[in-house]
Amino acid sequence: MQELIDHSAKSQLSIELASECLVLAPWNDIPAATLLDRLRRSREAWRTLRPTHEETIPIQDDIYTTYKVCGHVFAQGKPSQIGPNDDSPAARVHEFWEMPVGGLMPVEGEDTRGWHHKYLDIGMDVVDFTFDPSQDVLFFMEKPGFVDLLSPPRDTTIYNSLPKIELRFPPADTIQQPAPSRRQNDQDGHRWPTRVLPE
Amino acid sequence: MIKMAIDGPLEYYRSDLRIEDRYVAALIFSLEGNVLTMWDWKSGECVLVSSLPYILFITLTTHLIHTQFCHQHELGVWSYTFLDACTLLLVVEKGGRIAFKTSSPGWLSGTNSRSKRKPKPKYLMFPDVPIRSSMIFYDGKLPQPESYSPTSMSFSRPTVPAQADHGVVALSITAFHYPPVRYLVFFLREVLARLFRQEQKCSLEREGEWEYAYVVDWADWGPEVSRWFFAPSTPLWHCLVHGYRFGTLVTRLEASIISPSFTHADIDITTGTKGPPPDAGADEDEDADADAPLYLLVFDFNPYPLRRHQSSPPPPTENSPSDNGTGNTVVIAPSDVTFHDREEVIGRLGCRVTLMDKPADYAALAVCEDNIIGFRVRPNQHTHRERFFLKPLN
Repeated sequence: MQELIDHSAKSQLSIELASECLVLAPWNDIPAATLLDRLRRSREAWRTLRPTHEETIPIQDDIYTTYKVCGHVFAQGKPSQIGPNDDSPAARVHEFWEMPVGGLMPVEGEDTRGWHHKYLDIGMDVVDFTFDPSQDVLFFMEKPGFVDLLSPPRDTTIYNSLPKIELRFPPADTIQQPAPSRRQNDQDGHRWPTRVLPE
Repeated sequence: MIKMAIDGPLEYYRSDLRIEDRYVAALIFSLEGNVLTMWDWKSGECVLVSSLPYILFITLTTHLIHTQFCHQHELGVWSYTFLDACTLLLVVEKGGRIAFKTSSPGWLSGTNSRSKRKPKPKYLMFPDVPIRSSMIFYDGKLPQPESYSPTSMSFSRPTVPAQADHGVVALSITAFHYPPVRYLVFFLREVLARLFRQEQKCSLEREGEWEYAYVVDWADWGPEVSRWFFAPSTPLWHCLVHGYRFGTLVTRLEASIISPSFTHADIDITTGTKGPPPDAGADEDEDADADAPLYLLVFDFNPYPLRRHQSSPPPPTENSPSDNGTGNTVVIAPSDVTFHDREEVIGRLGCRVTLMDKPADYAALAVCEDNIIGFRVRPNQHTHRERFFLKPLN
């Protein structure tokens, strides 16, 4: 049995994938031997913490800039301009970098979409954001009333072309009590966060 | 793209946004109380709203500054994470102690729950941790395998996680004693999900006038599935979780507390694994260690390689070295912590720890499946690393 496994890259790959809690993606077309080699090198790199590749991303370094890592995408949200009293942490510029996968830089000849840079200035006071690259969704949380001395939007092309849904928090005067049912809510005339904005 | 708007005079201080499949949740820390809201973003419908008692932790978080105060302690939800695609794992107060409970859309504080009979809540109780504490989940839940797609914003990966619901969850517990002490406890997400699903030894306690809750004592669920560590009390002990991996930055002295195998030859180690790390003590100790170089430390809680790795060497005993392994990777044995002489807790969840052999020269850290992102600070912007400490208000 051991000899059988030793001579079969597919069998070894299956075992290694199981031990790493991974499965092959249905769209994968990389040969098993290549994947096996990549997987073992990646695991070895994690076990020794010796980087196989290094890249430098320029980021803004101030207390108003927030960072998120989701999947293989690293993002930073930063203000275009800081308010006069340094109390306007609204982030309006968002930059995204897609990072290499597989623990290694793609082999020669392989299609890579690495290190793409996207710029998004959405023209609103964002106090927090998150995203899920696997679903292509991006969430911004907006807080009205913050000091807004930021520069006007420079490029809203991307923002305007995306489908938008607005989720609303319950009105502040309702959150101290147990939330009413939908029917009670409607009778009271409160807005409840259920509407989807038309495009 | 989805925009979430806060209406009214809600004084916002900090938010915690998370996405899981079709749900997005936001925990807002504010003067008016903490608000946990969850939406089905595909329909735009709000599926869960919690009205929580006052908890106020004013927390300013950036990659360099993290200051925390505790003003008030009528307790509710401290922190949350997704246990699976539609279940939230909450860390709450129950009877003066910390507990885990779950909540699903429609069950918490009342939306859309009238058509079904509400199940009895279940609490997994913690040991007697000082209740004047702050709780923060660290997790990096993986996307569902089917949600990876060649057309998505992410790379088209040749491999995807077999189970997105599996992985490790870290809970940071900072006790507001003087000096403050910070504990870090790890659980496997899939084990917590199983514990909430299955029946086990528990008691039925009254909760409210007409409702009852299942309560499971720590001894009946916790020791075998948890792993406790003393963590440096400074909030600058950056923690990032992805899947089964947990990464952070430590000094060699701090690493030696995690495992004596990481002891550096020229460092005098005087503290054993039972005591808090030196930097949880006097300020002068902290000052002396503040400028020490930081090393990348990665915990790996993946049970499969660990099990295989452990099969060859004999299990550690009390009288033998607790670690095994070679080089900068060790499999560490269960260790115990004591909560200010109140209760000794042993967690036996297995893990492997790797320490980078050279200083990382990072000020902060992020980890994903294949990459480590280290934040370097330019010398002309910040010529020294500053550390901030938790101080009691009274």
